[in-house]
Amino acid sequence: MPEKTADQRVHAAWRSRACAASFACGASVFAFGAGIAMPLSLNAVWLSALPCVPLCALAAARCVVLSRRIQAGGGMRKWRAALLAAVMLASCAFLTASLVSLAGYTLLEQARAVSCALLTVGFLLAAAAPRMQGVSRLCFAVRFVLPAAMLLCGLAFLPQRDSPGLYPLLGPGAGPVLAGTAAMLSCAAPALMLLLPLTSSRVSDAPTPPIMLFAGRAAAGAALGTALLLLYALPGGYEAMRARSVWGERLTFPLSGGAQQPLIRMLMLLLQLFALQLGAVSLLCAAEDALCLALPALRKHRAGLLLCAAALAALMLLLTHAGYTAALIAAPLIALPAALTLLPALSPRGAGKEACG
Amino acid sequence: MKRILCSVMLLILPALLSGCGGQEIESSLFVIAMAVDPAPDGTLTVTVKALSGTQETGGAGQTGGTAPDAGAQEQASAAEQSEPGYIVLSATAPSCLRALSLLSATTPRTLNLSQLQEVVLSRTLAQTDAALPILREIHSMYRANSGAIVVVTPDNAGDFIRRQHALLGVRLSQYLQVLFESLSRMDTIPPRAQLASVIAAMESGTRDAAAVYAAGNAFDSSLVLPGTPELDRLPGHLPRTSPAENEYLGSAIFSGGRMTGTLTGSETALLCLITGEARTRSPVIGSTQYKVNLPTRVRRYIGEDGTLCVHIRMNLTRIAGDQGRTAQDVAAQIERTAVSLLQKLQAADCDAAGYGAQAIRGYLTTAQWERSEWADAYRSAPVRVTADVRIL
Repeated sequence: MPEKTADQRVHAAWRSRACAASFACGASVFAFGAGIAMPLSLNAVWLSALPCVPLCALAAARCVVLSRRIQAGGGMRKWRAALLAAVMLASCAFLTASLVSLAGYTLLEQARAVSCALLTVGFLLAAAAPRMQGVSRLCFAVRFVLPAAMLLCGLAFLPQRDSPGLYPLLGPGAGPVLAGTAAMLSCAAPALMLLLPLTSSRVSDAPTPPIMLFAGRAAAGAALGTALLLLYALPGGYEAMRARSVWGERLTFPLSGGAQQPLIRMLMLLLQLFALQLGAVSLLCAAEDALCLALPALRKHRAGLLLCAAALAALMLLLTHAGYTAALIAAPLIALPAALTLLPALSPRGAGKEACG
Repeated sequence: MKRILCSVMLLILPALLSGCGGQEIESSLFVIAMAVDPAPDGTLTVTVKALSGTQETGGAGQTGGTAPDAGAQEQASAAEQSEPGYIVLSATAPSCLRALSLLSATTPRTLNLSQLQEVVLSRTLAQTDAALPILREIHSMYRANSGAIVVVTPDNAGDFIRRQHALLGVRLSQYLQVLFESLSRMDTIPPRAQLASVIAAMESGTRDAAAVYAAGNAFDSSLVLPGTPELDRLPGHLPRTSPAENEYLGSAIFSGGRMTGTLTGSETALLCLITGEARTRSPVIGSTQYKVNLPTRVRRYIGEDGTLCVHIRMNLTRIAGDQGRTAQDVAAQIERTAVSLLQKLQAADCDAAGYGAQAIRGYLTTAQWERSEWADAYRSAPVRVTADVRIL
């Protein structure tokens, strides 16, 4: 096999990064939808999630354009890098909280909440060891298999005859559905990882792939999350959605009593956990990269990753004591700093770089 | 490549934690059947039949003590070893949850409902509003097997499961699984009688639940009663003798969370046909047995004037019995009995056929649907059934 040129390697690296952003967006759409929007929109939760598809695509496109300007302007400013790190960490925390809630409701129902949370953070830390590049390549490797498997499992839950969850189409009404959409705006925050440059200095001059690649991948991830929310809502009626008050319960697919469904439910559960982990690890790696852009001294001995993991662990412990409902209330606010991160880049000051990197 | 493999390994490992969260088999009491009966003073008696882990039979055990509780007056009654390998326990408490908690506290093992095969409610209890909360408690609090079949019996439910033995084979759980599967294939029990389905239907405003109806056989002779077909009866009165005293035949139909009537075995088979969930390939119509060649097409819809309509298209081949009936005769009989069945369901306020799921499509929001008073419209709607039968 002929050796890849530098341009090809750069293209492959960006493609992988786009896949990682796609998985993170998809996981966020599902987590936000099931956790926050579902009590508002009930069976119309998929309608609330639908605007997130173009939103994620726009966010990804904006990030790529802004990233090119920033690189042309000499690098990312420290304030932007720090803000980006905070947004990535907050998004990672929400996905981790979803992961812990889901695992705690299903596989680890006998475990203590603290053990569950710390174990999850430990695994995320270990999985982030190969850096963003490793996680991105993994996302690229499963970019078709994982979504296809999840959709097939989701289809297996559909009732054979009517789909009571589809109607009424607007669920509780236009107002609650729009409120659900507003609460889900933060699910596009993971696309901001596309602001980060590739870490190797050799590839700084190589051309980046077209914007449509990034926008398309982000939209595809968000569309997968929306499709799963639709498949989730179809088997049961709005009354069943209303009765689901526990966060972990809202993340699990409802059973309608078929004999084979417990087996498929377990498979779906494992796929959900895997997808949430992929999203959380991608965001953790992105937080590390952003933090190291803001404070280059943290590159030594992966101090940036350790700091991010420690902050994540502290957040999880706080949520364990304060209640995971706090995460559901605070998560929609991630959209504000995320929007600030996308402010236009200022013109370059002189000939020097604006940020270390 | 190494990084990918490393990441995959680390991300897959958490899935193996499913073993860490579970319990030792030796420390669990696996319940196979559960029964709930009303007891005096508004309390409930919960009886469970569980695996004992031994193959020895024994008599009744010691009488359990009274758990001191200021407001509850809860009692745990004797553990009974009624057959090899199984033990029957019961407890009485103000709620199902407290009774199960008491059982857990007074046995040396933790109650585990993951292998539950049937939940039996007494008819008296099913006819009250307590049925849905009881089923919900069992399903969500104790993570019962969602595929457990909900059964309603006019007898004492505790005695019902005490009589339940593995007539064929050794394992009661396997026996019950095979039993319900074979009855389901004959369409003599309702299609969605699983615990999760019954709860979902009870909570739903667009469809009503139907559970299995069962009773102990009270027949002591093989006298055949003239007139109605053999399966057009309720359980407990079938002209048969067998070591298996419990008979499962027909449906207990609900309106919301309350039982409002019963369907015989034949009516249940017709309900399966109307809802498009008939599984039998060899229906008996009159005194002739037919084979269904192609999938039966059933279309349920609500007419513009609010009429509840069903259109059935069947292709049959006669395989046994006399040939005296034409396709038109068979179609007319199906139409007549289906209309009678739908009117019976209307009278019982039970939308087991799921017309509500069709009616809700005309509304945009849940508030509009809830204001539509569909229950009144359903009760008074005219019924029309058309059948297109071809006998090849």
